[in-house]
Amino acid sequence: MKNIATLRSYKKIIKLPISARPQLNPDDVWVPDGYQVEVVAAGLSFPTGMGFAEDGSLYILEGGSTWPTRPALPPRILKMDSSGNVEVFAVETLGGPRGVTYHDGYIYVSYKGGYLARIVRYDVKTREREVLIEDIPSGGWHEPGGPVFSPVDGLMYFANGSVSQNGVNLPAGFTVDLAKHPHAHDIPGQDVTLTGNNVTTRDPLMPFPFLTETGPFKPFGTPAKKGEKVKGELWCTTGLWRSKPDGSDVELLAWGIRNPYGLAFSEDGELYASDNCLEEKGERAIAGDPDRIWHIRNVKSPHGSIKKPDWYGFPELRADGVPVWDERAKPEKGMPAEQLIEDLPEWAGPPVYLEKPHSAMTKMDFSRSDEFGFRGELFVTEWGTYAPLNSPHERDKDNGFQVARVDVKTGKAEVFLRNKQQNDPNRPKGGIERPVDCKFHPDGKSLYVLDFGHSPVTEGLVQAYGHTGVLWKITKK
Amino acid sequence: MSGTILIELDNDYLSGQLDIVEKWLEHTATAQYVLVDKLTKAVPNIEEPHIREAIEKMADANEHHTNGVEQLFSFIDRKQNQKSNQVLATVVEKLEEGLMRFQELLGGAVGSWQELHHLLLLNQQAMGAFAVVEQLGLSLGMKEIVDVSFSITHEKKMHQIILQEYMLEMAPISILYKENI
Repeated sequence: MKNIATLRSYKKIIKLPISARPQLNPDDVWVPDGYQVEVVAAGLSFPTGMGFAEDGSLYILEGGSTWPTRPALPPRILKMDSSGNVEVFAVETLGGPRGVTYHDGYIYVSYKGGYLARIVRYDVKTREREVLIEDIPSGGWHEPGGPVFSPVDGLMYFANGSVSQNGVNLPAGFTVDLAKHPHAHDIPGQDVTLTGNNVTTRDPLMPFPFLTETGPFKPFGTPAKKGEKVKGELWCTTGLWRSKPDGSDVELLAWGIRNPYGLAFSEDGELYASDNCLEEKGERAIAGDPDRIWHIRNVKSPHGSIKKPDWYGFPELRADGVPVWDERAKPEKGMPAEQLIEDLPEWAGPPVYLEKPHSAMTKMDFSRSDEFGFRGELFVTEWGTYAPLNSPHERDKDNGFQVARVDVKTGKAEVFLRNKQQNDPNRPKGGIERPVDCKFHPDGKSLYVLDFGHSPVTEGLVQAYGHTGVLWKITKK
Repeated sequence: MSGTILIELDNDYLSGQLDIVEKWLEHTATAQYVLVDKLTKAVPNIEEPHIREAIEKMADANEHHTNGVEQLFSFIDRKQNQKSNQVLATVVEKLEEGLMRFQELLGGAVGSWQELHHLLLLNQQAMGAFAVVEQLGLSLGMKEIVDVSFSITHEKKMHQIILQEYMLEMAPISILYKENI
């Protein structure tokens, strides 16, 4: 056990000794009538996810190198017991923790770092660490999802996003991903034939703007050929898998999910994945793609029976089913996209819910409690937009920065939590900044919302400040 | 559970962290003084008018960067040991210059081009020091540190590109033709 410096504040409005987030005030946060907001903890550094154990202990992940990748702070798993005592449960050296769930005496954690993402479990009593899976292709833009456990079959479900932003590795992020992982690329989950369309860009490593061609499912600078076949792999990118709890008997259920950061099971065992929209920027820019929540159909098929994984559209379809080369997807900023895959697989859409582009839906949880209310509805955190970096539209600049509750049966949603004042990613007051996860307490009385902290955006940079992460709690009065 | 848990936000913890930041700022100050001193000495030795103008502008910008060091100390409510840092800078400069001149001698370089070569390395050193300050400011949630150190680092990055271009452009004149630039 490692201790961590903590202090208690008993004031409602909390003054913090950090200029990036000087004040917390629950009164700045709007929730529906009949609910109240409290601050449970402050000072977290780049929190990325959390999960409750049955006894009410809360495991909180501090993500290490996150969004942007620097500064990196120690990638830690913090444990907060039901009395509010906080300790460092584990520190991971192989990468940054992104998702955690408790199951049958263990916590299961997904990690991102290097060319591979991993699933690791820890015995909560002995703290023994065991790497279960370390084959997930990564090294690019998007994130692992889960792990979560099905209430029906007891299997572990996990996912991982794309290496590229919009289907082709481009120099937009060269200072980070292409420089660190020049060999990383997307991998399809089933065999595909390429159109031979490539994206032409500059090569930021060359002194003159030589024209460089890059194809889909290729490292930067490697073009595709017309008619070229790319073999689908079990360990693809944009995939969603299941396995036994020890990581054995892995099966691919789905691919083509761009950034499935949030996975959640409903009480009746249906699985849903959050996913983020394609971006309107750069040399393969796509306009109007909504954020979305997918229903993962293959969950109900018996384990080991999936012959062909479902395809959810990346990198060829917007979440509303519009091909990215269609007139409706033409960007206001950047170069329009072309078709990359010759014969598209059958689409597993539409999503159960479409959200505004760049809301950046992250993790989520179903209400299972009549006492809290909204039982059966999916509560989704929305990290908030990176506009103007990823969208030229003024209308996108406030998207996200809230918690929504989604009726997955009707596709309708309502805001559950947001700041009372208009969102301003660069200067909020005492309210929320960027909600990244929400989980219901096992007692069914309250919803905990994890807030990543202060992460402002300008046209030239994104920043993230340590010690600005906050854990909020919403309780029915 | 009652009250809000403040993690790594208490005075003892933060004060300890700022002690560490202070040490890095002393190092940053030293790197900056070494660079400024070298810029001052280099200007009269550069004969090519465009390069000389560029180095003069760089020297002007570095006055602002040196003031930035003072600001950074004030943000953490500390004062730098300027005299000690300047003495250390003089020693470091002599040591580094000796090493670089030895390397250039072996490589066959002569004349004022060597000033550019030294400046490239010293600017890199100072730029790296300020860039680390930015990372420390981000880590500790201190916006004012980030704002100052980012703008300095950004300007030094431009200087680095200029220095690298002129250093490479003029290298054959020094190495092959054994002439001043």
